[in-house]
Amino acid sequence: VGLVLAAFAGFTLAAALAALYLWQERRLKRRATDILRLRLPPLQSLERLQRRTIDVCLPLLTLGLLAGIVRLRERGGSIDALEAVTLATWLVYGAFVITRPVGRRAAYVALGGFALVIVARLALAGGHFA
Amino acid sequence: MTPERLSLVGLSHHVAPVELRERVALDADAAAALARSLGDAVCLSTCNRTEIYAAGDDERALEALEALAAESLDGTVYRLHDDAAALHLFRVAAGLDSLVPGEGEILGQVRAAYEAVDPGPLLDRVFRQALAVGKRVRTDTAIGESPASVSSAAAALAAQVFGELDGRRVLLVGAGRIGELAATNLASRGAGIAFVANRTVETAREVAQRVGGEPLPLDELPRALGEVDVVVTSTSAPEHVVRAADVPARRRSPLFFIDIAVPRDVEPEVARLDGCFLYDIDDLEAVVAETLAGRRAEAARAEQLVADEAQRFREWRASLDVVPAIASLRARAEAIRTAELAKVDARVSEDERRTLESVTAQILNKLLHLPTVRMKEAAVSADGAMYADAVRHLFGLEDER
Repeated sequence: VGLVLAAFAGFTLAAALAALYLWQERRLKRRATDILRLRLPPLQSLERLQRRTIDVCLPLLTLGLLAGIVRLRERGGSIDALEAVTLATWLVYGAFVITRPVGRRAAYVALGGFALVIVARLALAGGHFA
Repeated sequence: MTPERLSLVGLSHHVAPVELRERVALDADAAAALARSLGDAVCLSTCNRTEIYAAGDDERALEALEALAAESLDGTVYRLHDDAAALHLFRVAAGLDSLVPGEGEILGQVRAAYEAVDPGPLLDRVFRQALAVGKRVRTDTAIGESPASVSSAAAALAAQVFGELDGRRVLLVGAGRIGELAATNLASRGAGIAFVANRTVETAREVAQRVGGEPLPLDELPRALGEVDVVVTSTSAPEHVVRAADVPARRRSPLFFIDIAVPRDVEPEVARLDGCFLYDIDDLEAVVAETLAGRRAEAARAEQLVADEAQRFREWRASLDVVPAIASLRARAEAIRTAELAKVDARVSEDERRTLESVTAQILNKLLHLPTVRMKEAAVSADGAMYADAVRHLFGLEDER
C-alpha cells in the first residue's frame, strides 16, 4: 500500500505538470502578449518532466498492485472495486508508457489517469483497509 | 575634520558624441595606468563612457581627461561629488545608465576597473557596494531578462517552447534583414541554423555564408520542414510561402514558426496544427511592447534599490563624522569618572566602592544615551558633521586629538 501511495503522489505531480503544460501551450497558441512577463517553464521541459515522473511511478504502482493482489489471494478474497480502479489507473499509465503520446494528448492522459487516482484515494479514505 | 571627498569626473553617451568618446576611451591597461598615476583613483572606461572616480579633489582627474580629449571639456563633462557620485556609480553598475538599460556587461567592466587598481578605503567601500548593488539588481529584478527587440523576442519565445536551444535546428526562409537577425539571435542561444531557403538559390547561398546552414531553393521547403524545430520567414513574396499542407504530420516535438514578413509568409492555418506555434510580426511586436512595459516597471524597482544603496552610503559617510566624536565623548566621560573614583578610593570600604562604581556608570550611561542616539540620527540627516563639531566644542574634545 505504501508503494501505491508513493506512486499516487508521483502521479499527482505529473498531473500538475500536465496542467501547467496545457496552460503554457494555450498561451503560446493564443500568442498571449504577457508570455515573456509571466514566465512558465518551457513547454518541452514540462513534457519531459511529466514523462519521467510517470516512468518512475508506474513500476512503483505495479509492485504495489502485485503485493496487494498476493495478499488478497492469501486471505482468500476476490478483487473489489478499489482494486479494479487501481487496476484501471495502472492500465492508463501503462498505455502512456507504451504508446508514448506527445504534446497535448500526453497531458490529457496524465490528467485522466489522475482522475482515477483521485477516485482510488477517496475509496481508500473511505476505509478500505480500516 | 571632514573625511575625504569622493569625486567623479566623466563623460558618457548621454553628454558626449562618439568622436569625443573615442578619444578618451582607454583599454583596461591604459585605464589602470591612468588611475594609478592619479593616486587614489579608479578609471572606468568603456565604449560608452570614461569616468574617473577619485578620493579627494577632482582637478587632476579633469586635467587628465582633457589631455586625452585634447580640448577643454568645460560644459561637457559631469563632475559629481560624494553622495551624487556614489549614486551615479551605483546606477552605472546596475546598468541603469546604459544605452540599453539593464544590460549586464557594464557590471563586469566596473569590477575589472576596480580590481585593476589598489584603491583606498573610500573608493574600496563605494566600489564594493556598487558591485553588490549591480548584482542585486540583476538577481532581484527582471530588468535584464526582457527582450527589447523583435528578433530577440523571437528567440526568447522559442526558448519558452524548447527550453535550452542547444541542438535545435533552424530553417531560415528568405533573406530579410530582421529574419537574419532573428536567426543569429537564435544561434547565439545555442540553436544551429540548418537550412537557408530562398527563391533564388544564389541569395540563399550568400546568407548561408554569413549565418551558416545549407542553401535551399523554395520548392524543397516541405522536406526541410520535417527536419527542423524553428522556422523563421522573412521573404518579400506576395503569397504564402509556407502552407499548412506542406507542414509534415505531427512529429514528436513542436514546430515553432516566426513570421517576420509583411505580407505574411506562413499560412495562418498553420497555427491550428497540433504542435505548431505561429507568431507573426504583430504578435512579436505586441510581446515586445508588453515586455518593454514590464522593463520600465522593473527599472523603477531597480532605481529604488539603487537609491536605497545610495542612502546607505550616505549614512556610512555621515557616521564617519559622528562616530569618532561619540567615541571621544564617551572616553572623556569615562576618564572623569575613573579619576573621581580614584580620589575617594582610600576612604571607602570595598562594598561602598562597588556601589559607587555602579551608580556612577549608570549616571554616565543615562546621561550620554540621548546625545548618542541624537547624533546618530543627525548623521543620517546630513547634519552629522555639524553636530560632531558642536559636541567636540561643548565638551572641549578638540585638544584631545
